[in-house]
Amino acid sequence: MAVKPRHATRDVQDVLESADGDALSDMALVERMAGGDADAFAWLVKRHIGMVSAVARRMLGDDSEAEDVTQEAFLKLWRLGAGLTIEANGVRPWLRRVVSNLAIDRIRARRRTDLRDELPEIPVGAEQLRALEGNAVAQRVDQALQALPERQRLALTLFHFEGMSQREVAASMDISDEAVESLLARARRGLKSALADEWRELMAGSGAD
Amino acid sequence: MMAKRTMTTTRQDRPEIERLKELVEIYGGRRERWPLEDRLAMERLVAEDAQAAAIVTQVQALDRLLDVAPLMSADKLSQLTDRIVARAQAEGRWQGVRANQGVSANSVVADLRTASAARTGFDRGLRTMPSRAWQAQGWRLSAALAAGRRASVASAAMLAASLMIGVFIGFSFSTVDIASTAQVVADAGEDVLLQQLVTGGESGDALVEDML
Repeated sequence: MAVKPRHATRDVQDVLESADGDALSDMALVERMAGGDADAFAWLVKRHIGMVSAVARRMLGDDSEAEDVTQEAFLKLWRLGAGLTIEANGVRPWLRRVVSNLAIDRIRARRRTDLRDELPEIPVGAEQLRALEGNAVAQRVDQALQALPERQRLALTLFHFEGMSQREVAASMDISDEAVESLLARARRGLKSALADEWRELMAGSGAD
Repeated sequence: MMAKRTMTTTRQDRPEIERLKELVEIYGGRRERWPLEDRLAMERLVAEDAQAAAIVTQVQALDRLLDVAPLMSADKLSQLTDRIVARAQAEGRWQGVRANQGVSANSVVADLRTASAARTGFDRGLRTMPSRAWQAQGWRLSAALAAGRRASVASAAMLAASLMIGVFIGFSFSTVDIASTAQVVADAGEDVLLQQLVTGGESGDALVEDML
């Protein structure tokens, strides 16, 4: 029976709303995807795109680039198909490693960051006052994150935002537990310094000392 | 009266306070993220000591601040999901598809599977060709090289290249599985086949490696 090619913009959402992909494990979905089942692939994307895009967004600080990297990570999954070895906890760790590496590659390629692990220089002044209004705080936090050296940012992203354990971060970054501790501590010191005004504002607002 | 101090003070604190500062600087203010070996003692310290409690409160404020870092909106993620799936369907998958993969007639991605199966058959044909072709044609190459002792190296190389191309084309249209070749042309289109022949790609690379 011939099946007409579907129009993704509508049909993908139909599939995700109607099918029972949620009931299937990552392993089952990858198995189907490896056979060319795009519906299974769509379910995997839906299940993990939040995490993948969040890592990309926090690492790159730019929606457009984060979208590119997110897409690239999932297309790697699609292209790999049956060649992918699924770990016990699903495809998530693999995707996390892929998107982290892609983001680092992109950062290095655009030479936006300094590879030395030094505390960042954050511009201060009138802009900081405006930063306290509305969305600007989020933008300042974003800027402060982006100003961190990439390894510090990756360690913080994986540990704080993604909830990975210290050991998982170490394995993911291929460094020692002690190195993770050092990166996290330096990242937090840098952020605390860069966000000192916002942080004090928040403390004052909460009535804490 | 205890002087008011912040976490950034350089004055030496009690050892347990110093340890707490180290912990929160690394792991943040969420107690469940602290190492197990420290957690119980530090939780007790925070419950009983005002300075310790203030330290944790300050770090928790920084944690909350970090959490406002912007992420992509739900709408954007939905649109991105569509684009990713559409892109995957458009490009198909030329690697990792099992050679014996069946094609489900009622699949919404039957078109994709057909293209993938066609490519797989094409690859299989190319990969099985070189060794047999080389065995059959190898003596010709040796003879040609022997006869060309006086000829220049360039001429010999050109002759070898011509033979390889001849073998390749001849094999493609005579020895290889006709059915799968026809399927490739029918499903993937002549343009794809010709492009593969001209540009080589993975299959072409494998072919050259085998022949060398």
